Amino acid sequence: MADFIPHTAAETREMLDLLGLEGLDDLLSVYAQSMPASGLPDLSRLGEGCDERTLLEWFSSRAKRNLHAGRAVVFRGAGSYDHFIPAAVSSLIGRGEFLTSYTPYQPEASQGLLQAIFEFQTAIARLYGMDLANASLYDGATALAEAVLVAIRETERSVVLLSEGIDPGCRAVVATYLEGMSVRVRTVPLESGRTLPASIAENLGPDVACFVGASPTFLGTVDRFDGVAELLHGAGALFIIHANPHTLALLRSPGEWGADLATGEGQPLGLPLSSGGPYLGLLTARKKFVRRIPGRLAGLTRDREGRSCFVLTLQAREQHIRREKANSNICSNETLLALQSLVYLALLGPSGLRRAASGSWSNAHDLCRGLLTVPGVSLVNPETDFFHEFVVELPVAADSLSRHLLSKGVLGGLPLGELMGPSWSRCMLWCATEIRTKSEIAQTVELVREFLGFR
Amino acid sequence: MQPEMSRTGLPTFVRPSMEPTLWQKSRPGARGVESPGVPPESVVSQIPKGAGREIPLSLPELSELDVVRHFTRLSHLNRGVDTHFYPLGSCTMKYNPKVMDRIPEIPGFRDLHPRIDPDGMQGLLEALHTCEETLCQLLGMEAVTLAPAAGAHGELTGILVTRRYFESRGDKNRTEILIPDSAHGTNPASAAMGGFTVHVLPSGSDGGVDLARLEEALSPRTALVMMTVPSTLGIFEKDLPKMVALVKASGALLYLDGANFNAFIGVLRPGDLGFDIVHINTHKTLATPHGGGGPGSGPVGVKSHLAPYLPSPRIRKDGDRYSLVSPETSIGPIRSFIGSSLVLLRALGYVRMLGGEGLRKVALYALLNANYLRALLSGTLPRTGKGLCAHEFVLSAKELSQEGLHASDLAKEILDAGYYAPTISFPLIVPEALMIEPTETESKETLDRFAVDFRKIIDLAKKDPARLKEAPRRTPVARPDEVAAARDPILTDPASLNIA
Repeated sequence: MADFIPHTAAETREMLDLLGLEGLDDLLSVYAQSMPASGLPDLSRLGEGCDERTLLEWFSSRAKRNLHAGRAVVFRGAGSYDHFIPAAVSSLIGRGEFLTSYTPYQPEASQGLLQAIFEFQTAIARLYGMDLANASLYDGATALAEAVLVAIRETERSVVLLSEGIDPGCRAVVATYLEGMSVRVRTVPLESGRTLPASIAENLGPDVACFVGASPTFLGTVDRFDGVAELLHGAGALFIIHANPHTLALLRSPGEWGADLATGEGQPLGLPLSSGGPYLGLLTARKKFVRRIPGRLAGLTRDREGRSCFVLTLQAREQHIRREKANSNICSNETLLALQSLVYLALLGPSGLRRAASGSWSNAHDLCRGLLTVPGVSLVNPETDFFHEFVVELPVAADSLSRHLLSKGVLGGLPLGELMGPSWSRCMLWCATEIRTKSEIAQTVELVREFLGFR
Repeated sequence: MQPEMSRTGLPTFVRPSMEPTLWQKSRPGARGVESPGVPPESVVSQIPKGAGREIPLSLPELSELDVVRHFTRLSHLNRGVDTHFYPLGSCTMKYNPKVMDRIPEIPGFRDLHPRIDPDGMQGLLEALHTCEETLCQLLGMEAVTLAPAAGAHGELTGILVTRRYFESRGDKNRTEILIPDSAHGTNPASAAMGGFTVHVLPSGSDGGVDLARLEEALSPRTALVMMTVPSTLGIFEKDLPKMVALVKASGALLYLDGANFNAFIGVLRPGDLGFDIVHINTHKTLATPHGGGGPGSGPVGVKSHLAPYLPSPRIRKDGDRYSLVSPETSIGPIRSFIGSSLVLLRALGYVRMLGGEGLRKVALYALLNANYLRALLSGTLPRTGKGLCAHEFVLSAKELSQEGLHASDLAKEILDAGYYAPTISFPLIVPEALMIEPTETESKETLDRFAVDFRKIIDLAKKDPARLKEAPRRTPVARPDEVAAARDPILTDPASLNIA
């Protein structure tokens, strides 16, 4: 057993003597009125503690029952992506000066992190084509929910339009966040994997706070927003785009589409799949919303002696100052993961990020072409281009193929029935990133062919 | 750093120099790490017209070594628990055991896809289910959700659960949440986000919740009373059992902000005390690293009458098999996927390594260290509260205001003495507050040294207040102009706009 308490017995004694106490238990007098008659709780079910080796063995033996990306070839995305991560990323973010520090409220002792946050804000704002970004939120879904709250506060309106192209999981999180408010959420349907401005227009009215589009959509299609910003602004509503940052190396950015706010899940930028978390919520905005947005912001300033330096700024928006009138309740965010994505972006640079995104596009299209050679397999939304994910319809239940592939060491496309309803039960959402190889793609196509009974 | 003697005979210090930004260092054409992929030219031509990116991708261009040196240099400009004593009150800046860093590096967890079929994640689900059961034991609760990403997120979760609970009982009048004025700012902010009205409870003369005021404020409109014990003053409510009884009698639910759980882990269980809901911060009590502000994790424990409303998905155990389910009664998902798994596994590791007795020892030594330091500092500045404190204590630097000094001036001098600073200006109810929390992982030697330095600083403040206004002298920068930063905010690097 270890407890990381450094006191020797003699030191403990000296400290108690100074306090005039006989033993450590005397300190519990602060709880006297609340101590149950039964005394201290029985903690025997929490075990007796263990050493490092035993501890790691316990976790390793559980980990062996997981089919992680080293044991199964990942052709699944749907919000979590298996990308290349340079080795230098983990060594840099593991440095104790970053890892074990707190929120940089004392700027003189926190310039390293403040500068990193400032650089992260810069990288994300430039990637999204927007004026500014905050220092991170919990994940993509909560970032989207917070952006919707900004729109509701800014417009003082009560209807939110969400594209059907947004991950159903994210839409559900938005609904949970709006639980306590009198706000209605309407879904704008996709036509062939795209949003028709007419579908938005049909739903527009004086009570609409915002429309949120997805780029690419959950189904992988590359949506377009020609004229959407003008349409929304004409109706006094805000335009929000939820975009995958990996794809922005090649795709038109939210800023270019005229978005007021843009959000995203930062996991594709150098974060492992991580069993679902912690991930990284990205939130970007036009300059005019700077006092409306939630979360921390690092800003450039000068110190007393004129040196250029960094501070947390516009804190008057935040809970520790404004309390119930704050823009959000967020305090802890995902700073270390923001640093992680910044290191990733710095190591890859613009050419590396473009190369990775091109690899994803190229591999996904190779995979799609391969799967379509299997009789009975057809592409859903064939009229619309996709980025690195696409949906195919199978002649069998997608669940059965998924189970079969997993038994052969392949994490295939995501069966969509559970998320999207029974009419999608034969549909599968596939993904290929830049790290998939030609032989992995060919072998997976053959496994699908074999399972479907056509050799 | 070597002090030099200036002409006036006082030591001056050479400040560590700042680091240029990534964009200032960028060299067009420089290449970092080679990523797998294909040349973009082959793909760009396939992107439909009008859907491709036209603006430049303004990321810095650097070699791998440039990047490694840049971030290593930045790390040198930052203080953490690994490098400095960090008595930041309310934040529980304890040592984060290095062995726990290994757990999220295990490929079976690090590289696991959250949307894999349940068959492929049985080990993860078992570990997380164990984590839930362990926290139920520690908290005296009947169900735990691991979903919340941080303490404030846990608060929002508990508040939405409260809303759903009263809705399910057809009670639509409970629209108000009572919160003491000493509470963390997240409490009222979370209540507002959950659609409730906040009613502030003023503190009594001892800094605790005033029983009479509580009784007066409770009404059929009260949905929830949010309490922090020990309070942010480091004082454990003496009248807690009476408060619990009052709240129960009113039909409202009782919430514990477990930010200060380090003070009583293994000693008292929130469930036994009568709380219906509690969140804890794994990045405080369970030693997961703060990471410069996150990631944290804010698991929420509830009594059985609230379990049906916890966020989806829930982990279900049938015999030896685990699955994820989304009950109809749930408030719905509060974030993507199951939770911040890699943080939660570290927290579970900490609990397993220490065991029940080890965790109780944590609380005892957190109390010992706080009280020892409190005693060593007595006579320096007045403390809010009397007698033993819990895991932290609050001093007031108000008497130094006649010298023109603020708590923030003391904080800067403390930085120069080689520490991180205590929390200042919080709680709001104490003027010029300095909130000090040493945690159990600091040695007597560190506390002794800090006390000696703190006394010197207070002496200096009284004798030569102008000196403190000059602090800090040894840090890379001193007293950044926060007003200018907020007046015309510069939130992205101007150099990034020069890259074509």
